[in-house]
Amino acid sequence: MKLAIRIWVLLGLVFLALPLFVIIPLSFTAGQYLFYTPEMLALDPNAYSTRWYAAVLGDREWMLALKNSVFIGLSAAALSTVLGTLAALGLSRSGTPLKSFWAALILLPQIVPIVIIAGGLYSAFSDLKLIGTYTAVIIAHTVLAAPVAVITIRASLQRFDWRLVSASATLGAGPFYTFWNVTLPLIRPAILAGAIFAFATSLDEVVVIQFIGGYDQKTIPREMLIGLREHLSPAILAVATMLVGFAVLILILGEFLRRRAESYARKST
Amino acid sequence: MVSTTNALTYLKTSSWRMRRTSVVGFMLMAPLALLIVLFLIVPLVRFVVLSVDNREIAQALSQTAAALETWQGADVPGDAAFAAFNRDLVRETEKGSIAKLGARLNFFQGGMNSLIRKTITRSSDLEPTRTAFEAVDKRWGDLKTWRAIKLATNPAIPEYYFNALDLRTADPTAMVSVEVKPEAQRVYMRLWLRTILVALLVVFVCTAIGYPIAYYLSNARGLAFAVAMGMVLLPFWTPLLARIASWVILLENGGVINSVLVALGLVDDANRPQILHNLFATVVVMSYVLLPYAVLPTYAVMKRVQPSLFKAALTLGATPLRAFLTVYLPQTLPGVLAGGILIFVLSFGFYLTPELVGGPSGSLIGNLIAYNFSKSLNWGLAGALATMLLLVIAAAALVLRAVSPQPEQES
Repeated sequence: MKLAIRIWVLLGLVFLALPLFVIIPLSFTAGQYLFYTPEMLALDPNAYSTRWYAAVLGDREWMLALKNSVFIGLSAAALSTVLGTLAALGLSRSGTPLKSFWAALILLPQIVPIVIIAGGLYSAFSDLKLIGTYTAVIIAHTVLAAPVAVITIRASLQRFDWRLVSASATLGAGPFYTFWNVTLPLIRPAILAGAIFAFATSLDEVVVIQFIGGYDQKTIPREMLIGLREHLSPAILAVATMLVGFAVLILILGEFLRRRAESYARKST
Repeated sequence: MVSTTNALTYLKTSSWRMRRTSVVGFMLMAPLALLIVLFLIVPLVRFVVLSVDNREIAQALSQTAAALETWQGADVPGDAAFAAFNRDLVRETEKGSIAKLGARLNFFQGGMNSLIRKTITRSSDLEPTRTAFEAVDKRWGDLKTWRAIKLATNPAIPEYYFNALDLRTADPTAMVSVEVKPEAQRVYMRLWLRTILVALLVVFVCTAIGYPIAYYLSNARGLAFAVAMGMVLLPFWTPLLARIASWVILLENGGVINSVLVALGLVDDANRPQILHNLFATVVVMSYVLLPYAVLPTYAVMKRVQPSLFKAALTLGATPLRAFLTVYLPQTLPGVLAGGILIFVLSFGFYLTPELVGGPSGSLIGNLIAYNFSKSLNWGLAGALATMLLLVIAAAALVLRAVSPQPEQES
């Protein structure tokens, strides 16, 4: 019985990890097929190469997409972090009325299906004549990414010791001085983690941008989508592998910052 | 600790300070709340309005509407109605929007579009009487035609919702008289049922795989824990498209799984089974994408379960199975339910995954919303489908709220 459970757990973990581990070696193929050739299985070094990585990194379209993804991602992350920090502070204050209503409103973009959000954004931006502009895409990604920032920052504020703020006020500091010199330094790791997760949300987004973005707003996920729909090549796998690597980095960095935020909170109480 | 401090500061502050605090809190949330209201809530409300909106057509038929005001629908109306309708036709033709009127009337009664087109070629010199109209086309003497016109004069109509459920109006003069469409025209009910079935199936698969993993995680220590947790979190953080791309590679006809099956001699090379672009692929990939949502809440609950209770049950003579069923399972059920409902809610609105791996047999309601919105440009129907989908999700979210363990206390 115990063995059966163990095997079942192992199979489950394999189901979770296998797809990514299958594509990573395949992205280093020297050929142009999307399956393991006998040479690859024999671990023949000639069967492996970095040609598809070179192809992606040397391709004008992919590089343009990268530039767009970074620009849109950074802009949306910056906006989300500023708006999200303010909102998280508002949600953590004791006197704020109707708090659970506001919290539900702000988290709504996480619950409404993305295809409905995309349709709604399309109708809003076509009224504003902003379809196919960076402005529209950045605003849209902010709507999607800000809740992620709010969740991260709010979690850290829930463990925040508000006596520090009272102490600062008692010592004669104004609210802005207190925020800048007391609150902000203590929640900075959480804010950074929120910004990183917001950036990752924008980098991952493809449905909304498909509805409201024009040719100019071609991003990495959009370019991948074209590849998935039209012709699948190992270049897509190379991009996917790089994205997995980036995700691991973000995960480690975000987790590190979150833990730091937690240890700050512990130290201060 | 924190909440007591909060309560104390709260009590100490004067009422003036309190009012100021609430204004400041509101001001801090306002920018993000405003953004979400403008770009999410307003468009959603607009979809709901569009899903019943018929004002444009009612406007185009304003004269007819007045003439049919007291018409009971028992018999073809008199010449006054024909005259009014003719005036509407002439005006709309001059405005150049007659094609739209025809297309929309067709929505209430098949064949109306061609009937209108046939009639307007004569409408300027047409005598506005029933006899003259019937001379152009016999259908003008048909009660069904006039019932459809009467229905089209309503500013708000339930037709999009009927369509979204494969229903149609049986008696156009009565708003609530519906019948099921003929078999060949039924599309949406099948999609709703499929979406519910897929969602339930995905919940089942995720729970069946996720529960033991969560159990393992809650007991594992050190490296084993780190590796297992990493395997759960890595796909969770990998961009969705990268995950879908790997499954396309795995499931493709010439893909990894089929190649392995052929190499093992389990499958004939010439008859590779089709495992991509169908319902099977949708269920597999959706389960994969949503599995972490089953593992993580269950794991969080299991971490808080006292292992001593389970051991006590064993000591008192319960078999491991009985101890599991009566002691451990009830304690971990809130996590399972929370994860399950979350997965149900999320899978109900899935769009991208079925779009890329599902093919026609594996597409869901979300894909139909996108189709009606951007391909067939039927925003009314897309709005009706979206509204119904949101209602299902809202209901499930309320259940989720009721059953989920409250991790955070509102101070």
